[in-house]
Amino acid sequence: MVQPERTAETPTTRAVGVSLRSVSKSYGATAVVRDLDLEVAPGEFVSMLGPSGSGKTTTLKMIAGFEQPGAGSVHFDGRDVTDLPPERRDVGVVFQNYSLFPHLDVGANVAFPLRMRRVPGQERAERVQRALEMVDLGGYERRRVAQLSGGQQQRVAIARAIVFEPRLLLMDEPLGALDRRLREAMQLEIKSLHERLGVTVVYVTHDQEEALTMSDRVVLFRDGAIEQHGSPREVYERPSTAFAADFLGDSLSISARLLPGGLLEVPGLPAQRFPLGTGMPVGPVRLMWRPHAVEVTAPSGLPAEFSADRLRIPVEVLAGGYAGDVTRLRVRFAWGDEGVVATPSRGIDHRRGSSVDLHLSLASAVLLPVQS
Amino acid sequence: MAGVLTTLDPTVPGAAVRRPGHRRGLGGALPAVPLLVVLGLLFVVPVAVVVGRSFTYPDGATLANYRTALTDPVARQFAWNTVRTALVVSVASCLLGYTYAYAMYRAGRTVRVLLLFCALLPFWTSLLVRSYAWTVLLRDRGVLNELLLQLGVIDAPLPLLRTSLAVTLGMTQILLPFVILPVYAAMTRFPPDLALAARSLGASRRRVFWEVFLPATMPGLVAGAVLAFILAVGYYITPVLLGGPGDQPIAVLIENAVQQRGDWGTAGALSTLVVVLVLALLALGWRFLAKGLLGARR
Ligand SMILES: Nc1ncnc2c1ncn2[C@@H]1O[C@H](COP(=O)(O)OP(=O)(O)OP(=O)(O)O)[C@@H](O)[C@H]1O
Ligand SMILES: [Mg+2]
Repeated sequence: MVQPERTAETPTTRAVGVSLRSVSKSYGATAVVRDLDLEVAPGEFVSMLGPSGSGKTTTLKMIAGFEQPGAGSVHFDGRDVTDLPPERRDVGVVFQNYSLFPHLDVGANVAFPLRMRRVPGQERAERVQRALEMVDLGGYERRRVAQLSGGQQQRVAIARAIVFEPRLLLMDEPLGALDRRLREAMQLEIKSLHERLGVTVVYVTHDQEEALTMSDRVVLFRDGAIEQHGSPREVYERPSTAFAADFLGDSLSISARLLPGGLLEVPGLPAQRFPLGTGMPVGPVRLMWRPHAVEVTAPSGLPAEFSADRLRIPVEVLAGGYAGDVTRLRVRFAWGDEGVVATPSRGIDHRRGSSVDLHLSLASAVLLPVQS
Repeated sequence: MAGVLTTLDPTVPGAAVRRPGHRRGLGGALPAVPLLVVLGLLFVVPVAVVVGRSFTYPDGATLANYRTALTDPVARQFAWNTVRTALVVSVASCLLGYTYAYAMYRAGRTVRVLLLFCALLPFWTSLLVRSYAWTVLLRDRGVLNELLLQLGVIDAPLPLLRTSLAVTLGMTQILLPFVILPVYAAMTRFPPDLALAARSLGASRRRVFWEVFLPATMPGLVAGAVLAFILAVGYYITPVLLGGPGDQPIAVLIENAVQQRGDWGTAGALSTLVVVLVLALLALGWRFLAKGLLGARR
């Protein structure tokens, strides 16, 4: 077993790279993770995002060693650890429900991994103190776990997971049980811990906003496989499927059709030359815009228009919500497609039933394949 | 490093945050009132009569009965028999009960139900019958001795009946469910993630058991131990039927005082002392009993 170094002088050397190679896992007849490949670079902060039951926790458990893959292998820095038991992987794990030991006080909880590693008493106490200070719980050693608030318990759990300076930190919805305000504060704190420790982090969440704000890279799960992965900006602005587009946030999309000769046809309008190479076969596609990429103006009363690389389409407002600097509108096209746009809160009638004009630039559109 | 968190976390207090318990009004206990009245009549009244007699028998207010009860060497001997037996039986019940409950916890569904059924079997036969059944098994020409003789393991019957061993066996079998149930309940409340957390922190399976699982389920075991001890202190039939002269419990002495000598005073004093002992134990073990039997209320 590789013993973690004692000090944090050279943090990056401690971080480990993780790779999952063709990993599958089934429970009985149900395939829960399917032929999954994933590379996590040393020191990277990767979020696994996806709907409930998409296999995020199962994947995390295989990295931690709690579950054995049915097929495939798990590697740390290129070394096969598939058969290594969890206690020998040097991985810190933080659970949604904190999982603190109820029979131990805060100090003893944090000292637990050091005791398992036979770190002598004096050094142990110092490291416990330092870890607790890192999560702003200095002086809480003698507190009983049950006397702490949820946020405090989760910070004890984090201190316990980092005190032995693991090379990899796994977190399974660590903030899921906390209220919104506390969650946002803890997001910042976890981010800053990641930067200070330089440790590799794999973070599970089903909150897309959390994944986008915290991560170097977002891995989107769907039915036990990776739908898409990339930087937050990539996956948000350039989703590769309608599922990814929907899961990562609000959007507006219309069905269209690619015709031979680089032409694009939008319902009810004459086909136009499409300005971008698409790499997509001729046939139905969806055009998607994020809310901020759509311009909204008061209704002109004119019919829809498709010229050069711009579309102007009148739509009906289904619902409007004032949200400070922007107003979000849910709108419906004449042919039935619905979507969400955002517009500065000025001069737009956002009451239900009113109508507005949308200005859509093809340059900022994302072309999504239509699922068969 | 005083940081972001202290300023942003609304829950960081100067003092510990106490979770407000689930306080329910006394009104919630209303449906229990009729039962409490019946229990009161059947239990409190007779106890009050016995306690009363211990201070007044045979003629007016007196502490003489307690002097006798506390100084009489015979009473001391019987008291020691009782406590010793109860201790041995509690320890045996805890060891066996924890192991049994752990087997239930680890077993598959079918085996678990079967084990639970077997654990509860003793509740469905009378105490007297079960104690006699042990005499059939353990006496000189009993099932066990015959078997050993047949097998040639022994030449002469082992003296098994009328020994402490027989008492321990008989009482442990009867008290086992009282340990198994709270221990098993505590085990089912053990969050499996706790074991995973411990593994990831560097504990082997063995250390997870000794350092996390056992301590976390300890309230259940303590509850079972307290129950078993309290019940064992009051046992009468089993030690009388299975035990030797050195195993006779205080209950025998009490019965003797009343039946043979009509000495309600000494009997009352002895009984009161036993009740006080039991109540003291209950007070000491209350926290664990509440936690072990009802589960931790947050
Ligand atoms: N021990 C198990 N036995 C049988 N099925 C399981 C087991 N663990 C998970 N599953 C199933 O595997 C699937 C994936 O579960 P997993 O916990 O990995 O999902 P998840 O992405 O973490 O979801 P959530 O966001 O709800 O936590 C689910 O359908 C779940 O029911
Ligand atoms: Mg999960």
